[in-house]
Amino acid sequence: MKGVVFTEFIEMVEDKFSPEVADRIIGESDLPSGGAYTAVGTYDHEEIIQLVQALGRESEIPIPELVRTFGQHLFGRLVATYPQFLEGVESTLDFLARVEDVIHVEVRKLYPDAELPTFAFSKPDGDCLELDYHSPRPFADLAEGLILGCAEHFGENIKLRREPLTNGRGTHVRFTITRC
Amino acid sequence: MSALRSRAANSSDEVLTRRLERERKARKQAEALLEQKSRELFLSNVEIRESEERIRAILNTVASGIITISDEGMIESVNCAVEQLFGYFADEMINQHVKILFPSLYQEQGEDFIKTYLGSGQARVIGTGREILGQRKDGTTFPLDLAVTELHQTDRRVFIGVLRDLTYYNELQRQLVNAQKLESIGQLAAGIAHEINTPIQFVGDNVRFVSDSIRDLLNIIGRYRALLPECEPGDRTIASICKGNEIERQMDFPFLEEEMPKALEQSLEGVSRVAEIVKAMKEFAHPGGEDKQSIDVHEAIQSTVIVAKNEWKFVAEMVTEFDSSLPPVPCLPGEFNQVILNIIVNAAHAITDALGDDSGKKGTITITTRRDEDWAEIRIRDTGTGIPENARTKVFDPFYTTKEVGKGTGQGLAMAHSTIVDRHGGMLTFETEIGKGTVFIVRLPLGDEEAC
Repeated sequence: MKGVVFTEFIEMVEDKFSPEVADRIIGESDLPSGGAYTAVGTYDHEEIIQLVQALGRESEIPIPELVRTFGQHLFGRLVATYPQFLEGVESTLDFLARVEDVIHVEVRKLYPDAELPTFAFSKPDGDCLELDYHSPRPFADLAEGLILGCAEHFGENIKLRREPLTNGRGTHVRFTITRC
Repeated sequence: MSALRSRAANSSDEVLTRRLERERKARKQAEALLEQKSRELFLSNVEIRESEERIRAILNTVASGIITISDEGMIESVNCAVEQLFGYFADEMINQHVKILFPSLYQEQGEDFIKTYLGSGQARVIGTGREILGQRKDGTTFPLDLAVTELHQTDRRVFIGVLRDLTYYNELQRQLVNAQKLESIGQLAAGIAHEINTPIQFVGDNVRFVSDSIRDLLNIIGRYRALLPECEPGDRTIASICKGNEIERQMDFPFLEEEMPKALEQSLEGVSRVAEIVKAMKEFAHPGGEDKQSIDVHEAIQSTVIVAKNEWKFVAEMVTEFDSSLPPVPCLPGEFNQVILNIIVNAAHAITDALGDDSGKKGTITITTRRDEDWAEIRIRDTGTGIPENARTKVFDPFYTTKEVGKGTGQGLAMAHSTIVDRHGGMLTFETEIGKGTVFIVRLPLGDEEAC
């Protein structure tokens, strides 16, 4: 998993909780990297799972909620770092429809070794988008947070429905996003 | 209280120290990664440069000319072969319009073939290939095969032309066609000799008969003259008349009177047949030039039918249905005749195979012509065996034959295809049904401007 996810996660914990909490959850987790992350590096995704679980224990906030919140935060940070990804995009549905064919193509130019989830979409009508998330890793909550962060960015009210497509482990999920 | 504050301060210092340590470690990771990526970038650049040099070396070593053209028709790059073919240096061609190399293409079409393609999607050169004339720097022209393919890049299209000088190939093909024609004449010679021999034989017999008859007539005239002194002037005595009748009976004059005109008439017809065969032979064997000329295809087909008569007359009836509105067709007459001959001979062989041992029966070869807009269409239909499904894709392949050893070389239809498609910008196709027969369809453009 790309280092930017880890650096942004640690920064979020430092901002929303405290540097001490960030230090504690790193200390409590068994991290091969020792918690030293650089945005351009690549790390085992198990480390982020350990960090989130440690934060859940520390804050007593349910883990899915924590991950969704992080997804929302991460979207804002990605927009600030890579504004070119949003050039010419005018709405949440427009952006989500471009994730696979435009955004991920650009991400691969920056990080050829990135292991990205896949998003297949269909548009039953102009105000609705069905997005099928498929990943070897169980990060559907993170994807949900990113979608919410996207809607927040465009200042749009959306209705988000989520249904598991296979085992309910968050690796294969259908999101139905409807513009309100 | 101060101890608590001091412990908190110590704790905060420890957090900061650990954070600093992590940041330092992360920085070193980033630096190592940066060095690694820099090295990878350097190696990639070296690889790209080497690959570019290798591709350039390959492009410059291939015998075919390779040229890239923008969608505006401007030359963007050329390889060494293009320089050698046209006598220009690369710098003199780059950023020039491609029509400096292929003016004939533009003269023929009166427009830009790339614009035509971009506007209509109609591929005349792009995506296909065709023979055109190239023009060297010194103004001389030469035949070349131009195949243009389209390359879609991220934000534009580029056209890649592959050029092959056909001067040597055309000369070889001309020699090959000539050789094949001579071979055909050799193979047809026995049949043609037979066709000529039959009328010559009865012409000879008739001339001998007329010669003998003239001797008899002269004899009759001599004996009439001998009777003259016995007759008084103006007096035809009964005795003289009786003698005259006796002479005519002895010489069988009524027979001579009836048969001599017939013999002469038959001889004249025989001589006409020989003349027709000789004329057809002469037309068929005409070497022709390198340039196309407008010909009456009906005359050409008729000549070929006559020359090949001995090949088909024992197995087939020949039916010709010519469209009288068909205008003269620009073509290379010698090569066209050879194509028609090859197809007729194949048709006769297919009918022979279909008839098998049933020697009493005959099939039919039907040759029709018609004008189809800007094309002249010639259909040669036979009632032969039809082409088996597994042979259909190979019919025009060189050296492919289903005939027994010694009967076919597999060159006839391959040559016919090359002649019609490559040399005339036409089409040669076929429709076939097992047990029913085959029709070969030759389509020739009526004007060069139509074939571009």
